[in-house]
Parts: sequence; structure tokens; C-alpha cells
Amino acid sequence: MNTASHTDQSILDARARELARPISRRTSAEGQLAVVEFQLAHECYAIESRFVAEVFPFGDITPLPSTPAFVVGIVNFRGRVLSVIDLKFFFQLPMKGLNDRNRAIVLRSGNMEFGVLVDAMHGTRRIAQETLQEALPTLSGIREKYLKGVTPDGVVVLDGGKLLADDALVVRDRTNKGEREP
Amino acid sequence: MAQANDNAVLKSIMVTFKAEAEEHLLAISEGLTELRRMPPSGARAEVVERIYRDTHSLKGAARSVGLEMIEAICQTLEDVFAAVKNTELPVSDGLSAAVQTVLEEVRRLVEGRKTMAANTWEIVAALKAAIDPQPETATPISEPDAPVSGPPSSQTGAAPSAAAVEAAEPDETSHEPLADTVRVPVARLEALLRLVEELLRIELMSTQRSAETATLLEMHGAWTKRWNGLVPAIVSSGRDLDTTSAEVKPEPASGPEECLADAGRELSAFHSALKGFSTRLDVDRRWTSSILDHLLASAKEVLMLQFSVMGQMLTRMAAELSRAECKPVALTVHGTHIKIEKRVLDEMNDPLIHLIRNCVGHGIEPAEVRRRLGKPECGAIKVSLSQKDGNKVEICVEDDGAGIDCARVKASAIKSGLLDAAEAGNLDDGEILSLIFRSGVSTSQIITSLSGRGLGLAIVSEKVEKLGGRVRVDSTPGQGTRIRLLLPATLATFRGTLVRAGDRSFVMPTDSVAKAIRFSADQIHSVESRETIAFAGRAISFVKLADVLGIPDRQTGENKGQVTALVVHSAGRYIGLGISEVLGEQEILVRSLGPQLASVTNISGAAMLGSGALVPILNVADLMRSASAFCGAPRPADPAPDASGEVKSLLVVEDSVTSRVLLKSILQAAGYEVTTAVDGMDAFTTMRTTRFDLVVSDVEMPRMNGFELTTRIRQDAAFKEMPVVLVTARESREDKERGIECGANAYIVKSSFDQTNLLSVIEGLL
Amino acid sequence: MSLEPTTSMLPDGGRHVVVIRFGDIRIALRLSVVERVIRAVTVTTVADAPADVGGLVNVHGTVIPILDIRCVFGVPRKAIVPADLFVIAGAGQRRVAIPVEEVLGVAKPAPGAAVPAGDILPGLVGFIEGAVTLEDSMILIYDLERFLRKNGSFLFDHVVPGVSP
Repeated sequence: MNTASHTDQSILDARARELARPISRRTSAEGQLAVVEFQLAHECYAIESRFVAEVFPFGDITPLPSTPAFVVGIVNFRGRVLSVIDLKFFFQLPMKGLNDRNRAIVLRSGNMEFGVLVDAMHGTRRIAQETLQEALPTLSGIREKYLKGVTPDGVVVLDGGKLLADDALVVRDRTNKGEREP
Repeated sequence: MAQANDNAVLKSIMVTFKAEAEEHLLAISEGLTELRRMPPSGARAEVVERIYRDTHSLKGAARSVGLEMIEAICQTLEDVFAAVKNTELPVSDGLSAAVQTVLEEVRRLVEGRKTMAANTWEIVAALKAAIDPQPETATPISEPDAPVSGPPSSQTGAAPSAAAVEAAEPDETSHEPLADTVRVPVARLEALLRLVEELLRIELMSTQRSAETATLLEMHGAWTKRWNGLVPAIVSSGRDLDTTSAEVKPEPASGPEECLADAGRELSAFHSALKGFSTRLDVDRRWTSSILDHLLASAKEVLMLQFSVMGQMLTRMAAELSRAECKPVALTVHGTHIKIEKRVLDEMNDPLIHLIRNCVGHGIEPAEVRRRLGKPECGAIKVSLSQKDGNKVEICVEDDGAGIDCARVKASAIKSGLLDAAEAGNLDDGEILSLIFRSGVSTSQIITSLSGRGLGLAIVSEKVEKLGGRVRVDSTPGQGTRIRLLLPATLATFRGTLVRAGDRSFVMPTDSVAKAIRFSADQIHSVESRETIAFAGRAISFVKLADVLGIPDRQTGENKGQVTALVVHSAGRYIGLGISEVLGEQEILVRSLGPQLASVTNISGAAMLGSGALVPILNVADLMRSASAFCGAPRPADPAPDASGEVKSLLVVEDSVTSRVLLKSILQAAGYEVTTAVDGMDAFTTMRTTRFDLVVSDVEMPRMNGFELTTRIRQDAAFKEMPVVLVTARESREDKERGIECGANAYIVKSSFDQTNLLSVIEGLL
Repeated sequence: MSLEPTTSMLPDGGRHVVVIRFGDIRIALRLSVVERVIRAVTVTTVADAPADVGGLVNVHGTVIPILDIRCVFGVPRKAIVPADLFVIAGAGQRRVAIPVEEVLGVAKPAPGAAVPAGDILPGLVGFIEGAVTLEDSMILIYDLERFLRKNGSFLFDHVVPGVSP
């Protein structure tokens, strides 16, 4: 490193300063999305922080029979029952087994609340809204349904609001409804 | 700003007023009914007094929120009741009906209507006229400074009776019951009750801790025993040493023996300390448990409501249905004073509506049919509540209608595919009647807006069973039908039977379990594609719980040939569910599965055990349906693979019993299936017969140590990919290197050995 | 029993690799462990650090260590120049930046490609998880995750969380 020329060194220094800058400070907060970045299988995803109540490392998960494959099970979330779903099912990603490093991102809005299983957490960052790109042609249909955009570095930003509002994610079985006859 | 605040205050006051008004209205209308039935006596005065006060309070409340119309009506009613009270004015049917009509009108006003039916004022006026002739008689005591003297400023005014009011104004005691009463919104009480129920977890937890301590004590006992057995051996080997090489060991032989004796004493001191701790823990647990029981009972008591709340609603509904169906029907409610917890009552809302609809819809015959049969034209429906043993109440809904036509039920059940004709022939009437609680069975030949879809009663039975109750039906053709709902008076915890099916645990509500049985596999008979077993002298369907739930069923070798099953019942039907084992019975705290899992087939909720673990609670009614669907379908050759991935199987090799038990429990808690071996030799033999995903081994062991075992594993073609984790007390660089040399994937030193480290290492290797 | 739970279940076998070059050495890293590639920046050196630790670099507020891959493979050191690249790789908290001269691209290993015996580089022993053919030459796949798991702790000793906002 001592042999680097003066100009080279200044180039490297400038890059280092640029790299060191937290992403959130690069531009003003206007048009910025605060997101939580995580990994599903080998892909990088993000969800807007405002829908994320908390990131919760869980130990035991109780699988529930008679539920769709995307329901991983229920966990004891500070004395409450939290259902956890695996988006990998919808995104045609390989469903890995669970391990003790599993975490759930707890999504909450209004009365709806559930956990999304993630394989690894990458932390929070800010994304300039205008840099978000439309769906890539490789994204399958359902992923597009929940898509907010794709960042230039390939992180798929999901729309937490759509996930929370999607009735298709709510398990409501045929029986045991107690509906009154019309 | 101030405006907004005022609005908010007014809004919240209105909520309070509504609640209060509803209570008063209910009390007045009940009192009136009671009064009509009563012979004139001393008790009568008491009832009148109560009605009077309720009316008075309602009037005051209406005035405070500026509802002048209600205030004016109450003024009139107050006058009427004052007259009844003071003059023995008879409560005629006409008077009673008029008052009820007026009360109904007030109820609508309370609910937010702004105007009244046109004839209401006429009725009010008529009421006034009824008492006006005798105003002078209503002046027993005069209290000039009575508070309610402000002239009501309604459009009608109540001036003519003002004198009566003032005269009849009771003393201030009418407000006294309120002085030590606090009005609290139900939602807040329910939140409080939920919190108290949360405390039950403490009880469950301390039970768990107690059990864990008992295990510790047991482990320590085993250790002590082993120690005591070892000491003579050590001592004698020490002596041998002394005799062979006395000059090498110059200390007196008593040295090490004393040390051993000391250690032995410490061991037993520790044991008795642990024993004492365990006992105290038990005492604490019992104490906590008794206090919590009291607390919970008191909290529930607060939320107990009189059945009359429901009775009123049903009476009104029956009247409406009677009009709509053009069938004269009278509904009477009995046992209105009995209290039920609000949540139970709330849950019973829909079922009772269904039952009353059923009674009116197809229980009670049309008037002309009744006339022909010589029955009174007006059909009678009786809803009665009675207290039963053991915190139970029974709601009985009876009608004097046509009764249930068993033949028609049978036909409907056959039509909907629940039964075949042969099966139907074998059923007795009671069994046939219980069919009406199953979906798709209806005796109605036409579908009306009220009934006939065959769903209503199925829901009744499900709701009741969800609360841990039971439904019974009996019917005499031509005479009527009686449906009895046996319910817990209070809710929350119930007894649950914890069972294992496959490698998962489930809770079965104990109320639904008729019996847990064990029998040999050859007692299962195959009838066509279905399997049956004998229970209480009859054949009932048998199906494995794991199969119904579609989870893998791991048959443990030792139990081959023996079958454990729970006989469960729902709506009069019995079924045998094959399980792996019964784990125990305990108080269960029910929790919902959360908003994303609004309703799940076969699962009604989750129970949180003392350990914090969640266990799904089975829904028996659903299971019955799923089981019959399963029996009907051909057995799937390959059960659907478990979405959560297979359970990894580990081999733990440890010569120390304590470490072995500890390791095993840590790994089992982490969700692994664990087999143990006592040394390397044992392990290697076990590996030949059983497949494992990973080996966790101690280093120092007799016969074959951990290094040797690892080397053997690496040399064997079948196992050379097998991950091996060495766990040891030796923290030396040489050992670590040796471990890596012989091919171990990880080397964990016990001093740095905490579970997270071990678990993350294992997880990383799997 | 598979030691590669991450990749073995991917639909395409998940064996895509990134081929990197430093000095004369070309090795491959599994694509799944590579987070991204950035242009080289100035590195903060760490006093008393082991030879393998090339220093620290601040990536958007997260300090990550430089794994001096040249040292690991016994290649002579050289100064970092602007044309160099840093491969940011690893998983979760255990991320490292690897300075390389070139990223040759992404390749897919042929199934069952044999690992050549003999002349294995010293730094690779115990960490080869396969081989890939690129332009007719055999390139070994370096199991970075395993390396970090086994030997990596020293790399992270110097990382003080929250060094930079």
C-alpha cells in the first residue's frame, strides 16, 4: 500500500469515504424508503421498516397440521401466539429446514400481524425511491404481486402493506365458521 | 379545540349512558313481568320499589345527557309506578303491555333514534290518564326539597303529574347503591380478566419447575449412588498402590480416604439441600396456585351476567319470528337470575338464535295444524336456565311442536351421504336424533329463510363443544322437542389431555375424551375400507390421528403390536383415534392462533405449556369430519412430507450418565432426535444399525475413546461424511490438533461449553 | 447428509460460482456467499493484527475486516491500486472483504468434476468443495464459509461494532 502513487491513494481515499458513508445520509430523507433487508434462500429482499414491528429470533416453532405449506407454524412471541409464514414458498425458492438461527420479521398493521421467516438479517438501510426499478422479467407472478421495486444492486423490495392486506395469506378454513344462515 | 374536547367527552358520556340505560330498561321490564305473576303481597312492594328506582335513575341519567324525550317518558312512567306503589294500583295486562311498548320506544331512543313512533305519545298520555284520577291519594309523605322538581322541558310537558312526582319522590336512598358502585366498561374488565388468566402461566410454569427439580434430584441421587459404589473401589486400589509402591507415596494412606469421605459428605449435604429446595418449591407452588385460583374466580365473578340479558333478546326475537312466519308463538324464559360468565353468554348468542329459529321455523306447527291436533293455537317455547353440578349450567330450549321425525332425519342423513341405509337401520332413536347436529342433515322439506339448510344445529353443537359443553336432544313425536345445552358457567381454562402423534404433541379437550385405551393391534377390524374397534359393546371407526392430520407417524419399535387410542365423542358420535402415547392431563390456557390463522381445520387454538412451548389444540368436531373423509378415501401411499423438514437424528456418546442426560435434554429441546451410547464401541455398533445425521462424542471414555471413534468413523466408507463433534474437558492444543487430525469436524471444550455454542456448531454442520 | 445445505437444494443445483483472480491464482467462491463486488478503497490498517487480516474497511457504517487472501495462499503482498476490486462475501455478521485483481465471471461447475490430486495450494487444504472448468482450465472452489467458521474468529476480533455511525 505504501507504493501506491499519490493520485491512486487519493482515488482510494475518496472511494473509502464514499463507501463509509451510511446509506441514509447520502441524500435527504425525501423520497427515501427505510427498509429492513434480509435474505431468503440465496436472494436479497427488503421490506419497508414502517410495517416491521420487530425482528424476532425464535427458538421452537410448533408446526400446525392442516395448514397450507406456506405456514411454517406458530411461535411463542413474548407470551403471545405469532404465526410465521415462509415467503419462499410463493417465490419458488428452496425451502430450507429450520435452524436455531431462524428469525421472523414481525409485520404488523391494524389488526393483522404475522411473522415472515427469514434466513438471515442484513440490517436496515435507506433506499432512494427514484432508484427503484420495475419488476425484472425473471420475477415470477406472485413476487410481482407484492413487489415495490428492485434496487440497482438487485435487492427485491416487497410491499409490506400488500402482504399484510392480502386476504389470500389469511387461513380461513371452510369449517368451524359459525356463520349465521342468511 | 375546546369544542372538540367537549364533543369527545359527550361521546364517552353517551356510551356510558347507553350502557346504564339498557340495564335500567331491562330491570324495569323484568320487574314488570315479575309483578304480573305475583300475588299481591309484601314482596310485591319490594319489586315495585325496585322498578320505581330504576325508572327514576333512568330519568336522571337522561336529563344529564340532555335527552328530553326520554326524560319526559320516564317522568310519566315514574308517576305510574309511584301510583302502583302507593295505591296498590293493579298491574293489569293492559297497563303492563302499554308500559312495555313505551319501554321498547325508549330503548330505540337510547339506541340513537331521534323520533318516536306516532302513537307513543298517545300511549304515554293514556298512561297518565290511568293514574290521574287518583293524584291526591298518592301523597303519603311530602318532601318539599326533593331533588327532582325541575319541570321537564319536553314538548308534552308533565306538569299535570308534577305533584305526584314530588310527593312520591323517594328519599335519597335511591342513589345509595350507586355510591359504592363503579361503572367500568366491559372491555376493560375483559382485558383485566385476560391478564389474570395470563397469571395462570405462572402456575403452569412452577409446576414445570417442580418437575424439573425432581429430575435434578433424581439425577443427583443416581450420582450419589454411583459415588458411594465407587469409593470402596478407589480406596482399595489406593491401598494396592500403597503396598506396591509405598516409597513413592510417602503420605499416610488415610489422606486420600479422608478426602473421599469429605467429598462423600459434601455430596450428601448437597443432596439434602437440593431436597429441601425441592420441597420449598413445592410449597411455594401450592401457595401460588391457591392464590391464583382465588384471584381468577373473583375476576370471573366480576364478569358474570344474569341470563335475563339473553332472555330479553330471545323474547323479542321470537315475537318477530312469530310475526314473520305467521305462527302465534309465545316464548317464556326461566331462571333469568342465574349468572353466567359474559364470554360464555356471548358465545351462546348464535346457537340460541339458531335454536329459536328452528323451534319457530319447523318445531311449532302452523296454527291450523295445531288446531286440528287439539293443541293450543299459540305455540309455546320455553327457554330455561338451571344450575348444575360443578360450575355447569344447562340451557334448555323446549317447544311443544311436532317433534323430530326420525325417519326424515334418517332419510336426510342417507341423502347427504352420512350414512348408508344398512347403517341407518342399526341406529336407535337417540343416535338418529344426534344426527341432526351434523352438517347437511335437515328435516325441513323446504328451505325457508329461517331454516332448512341443515347447518344451524351443526353450528350449535360445535360452539357448545368449543366451550367444553355438550348438547343433548330428546323429542317425542307430536309432543315437542327438547334441546339441552350443558355449559361451563365460566370459561378460560379447561382440562386438556396432552397426547403425542408421530413426533408432535397435541392437546385434546378432556371433555371430549370418553376414554384412553390400549389394545393389541389385532383387535382392529377392517370393514370394507374402514377400520373399526370395539368400544362399549359396539363398533366405532378407528383411524390414526397422525393420518388424519397428515403428519408422519413414527412407530417406535417397542410398541409394535400395541395400539394406544383415545375414544373421543362429538354430537353423540364416537371415534377411536390412534396416537403414539398419552403424555398427561393438565389445565390448558387457550389462545387463538393469531389474525393470520383465522380458522384452521382440525385445530381450534394453541395451548401454552409451562415451558412456554405451544401445542395445537384439536377441534374434535373437525377431526370427526376429517376422519370420515380420510376413512372414505383410499389410504395415501405416501403421506405428504412435512413442510418443516425432517427431524435430524443425533448420536450422543458419553460415559458419564449426568453429562449424557444433560446433552440429551439440550439436544432434544433443540428439536433433534437423540440416541445415546455409553462409549465409542457402543456408538460404533449402534451406527451400524441406525442411521444418524451427526455424532456428538466425549473424548475420554472406556473401551474406545472419542479420537478412536472418530478415526474409525472416518475410515469406514459408509460414514466418512458423517459430521463428528467432539466435546471434552481437555483444553489442550495437542488434543485439539489431534481431534482435527483424526477428522472431527468440531472440537468443543466443556469449559466454553454452553448450549448455544454447541447448538450453533451442530446446526452449522447439518 | 450434505455439508452444503445452502446450495444443494437449489433448483439448478445452486452451484454457480464467482471466479476471482489474485496474482497468478484463480479460485472460485460460491455465488451464494458473495454479497457484492466493489471497487477497491483505502484500507484502515490494524496494529498487531495477524498476517491474514489485511485491515478494516467501513461499508456504509459497518466495519468489516479485509481477508488478505494473498497471505492465506502464500502469494507475495502487493499494494492496493484503484483497479483492484473487493469481493464482499460471507454471511450475516461474518462478512469479509477480499481484495482481488480481477473477477473473471460467474460459472457453473460441471457435475461430478473431479478434484485433481496433488499440487494443491497450501491455503486450500481442507477447504476445497469442488472444481469448475473455465476456459479449459480447472479452478477449485474455495469453501469460504467453512474457512470463516473454522479459522475466521481472529478476523472479527478487531471489528469493534459501531466504530462508525
